[in-house]
Amino acid sequence: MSRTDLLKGYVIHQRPMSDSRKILDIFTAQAGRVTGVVRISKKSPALILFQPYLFSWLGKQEFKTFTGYESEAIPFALKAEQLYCGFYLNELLQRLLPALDESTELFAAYEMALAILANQQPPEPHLRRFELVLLRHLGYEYSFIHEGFNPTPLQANGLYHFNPQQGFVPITTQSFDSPNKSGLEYSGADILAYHRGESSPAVLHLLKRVCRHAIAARLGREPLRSRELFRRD
Amino acid sequence: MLSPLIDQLIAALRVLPGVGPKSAQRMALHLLERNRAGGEHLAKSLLSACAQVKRCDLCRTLTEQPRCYICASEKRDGTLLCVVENPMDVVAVEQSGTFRGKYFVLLGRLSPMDGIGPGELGLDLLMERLRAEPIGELIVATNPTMEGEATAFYIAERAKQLNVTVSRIAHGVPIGGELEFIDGGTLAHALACRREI
Repeated sequence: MSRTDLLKGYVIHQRPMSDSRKILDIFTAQAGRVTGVVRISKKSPALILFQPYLFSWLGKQEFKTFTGYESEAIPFALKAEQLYCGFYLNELLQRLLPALDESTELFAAYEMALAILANQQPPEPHLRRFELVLLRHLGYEYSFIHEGFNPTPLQANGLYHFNPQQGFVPITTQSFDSPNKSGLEYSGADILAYHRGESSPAVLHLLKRVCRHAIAARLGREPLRSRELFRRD
Repeated sequence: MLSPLIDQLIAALRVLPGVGPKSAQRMALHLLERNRAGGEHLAKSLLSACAQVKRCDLCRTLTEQPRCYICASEKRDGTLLCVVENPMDVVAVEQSGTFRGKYFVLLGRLSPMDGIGPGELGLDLLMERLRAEPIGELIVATNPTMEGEATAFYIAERAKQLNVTVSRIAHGVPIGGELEFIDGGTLAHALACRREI
């Protein structure tokens, strides 16, 4: 694909390259994350985060040359802490999403999360949904009804560890003493409640810990900077 | 191309923003052929500015004094503090001729993916000023980008805990502008923030 015409996308990051050029990372459904250079002038419209644009680009290599962009609609009006959540979504995409990898389902989850954030609704369930879709896109789909890597059903009265490679594994005396244990345990009842579609505080708390653990395993040593914004001092 | 020293001067002039090889060559030859005194003055001014200009202890704008002339002035209103992203923004607000308070320069805006968090913006210093000085109103004049808005919210949340009134500069239709040429986002914002006349 050397020339692409008018694909809908969002800017997830931009940094100056020179006076008249910027390096852009955009997120599209058809091509996933696309990185390239765009020429800008004082007259070019500003590129704003969380605003849908139509982009066109050229190039056979991974690094593209954007040949044009125009706004497709007005930006999602994120305010206050919702903006921090938006930065968090963008940082996840920037850090974890491979370049030029079709991401239709993930793109839909991103737009849904932005719409929820702009409507000032509680963002947590939708952030978790986005994280789970992202993990699935990266090849990690966890079962909330069976133990990881085997068909044994989870027990409501059981206690489980979460392993980012496998999913939920039962806590045994042996695993509890293992030096690799995560230190976190999850109740089978909460895991199964999520599977049934419940979204109680306990279920949301479980999901948050699970997603955080699974994402941390993918991120490596460098932590997510956008989480600093949520800290209360 | 001409001589090593001239080539060096041309290359040095290219550090300036918007100066490409042609412009740098024109500037170098102009200084050497027509205005050597101006060139020497430029060189001396550059040397002394680079050696002496530091940041103001209070507002972090550029100055060769420990405190910039605005922070040191007794005529300025110490109860009004305007927070801006860069020293250039201080110049812009000053040129409006309407603000008589003092400033605090963040030297950036929150942008986690560029590694700019609250620590990098000197917000501890700003909060210290809010505690120590009789500041009644904090005007947040960060740029109307998403990063600028997030920075404004972050500062406002913390300043309000110290019982300081926080305001944000208005965004919308520029004076002399025409509605049909204004982008949808700006117009939506202008409508949302309309006021009674």
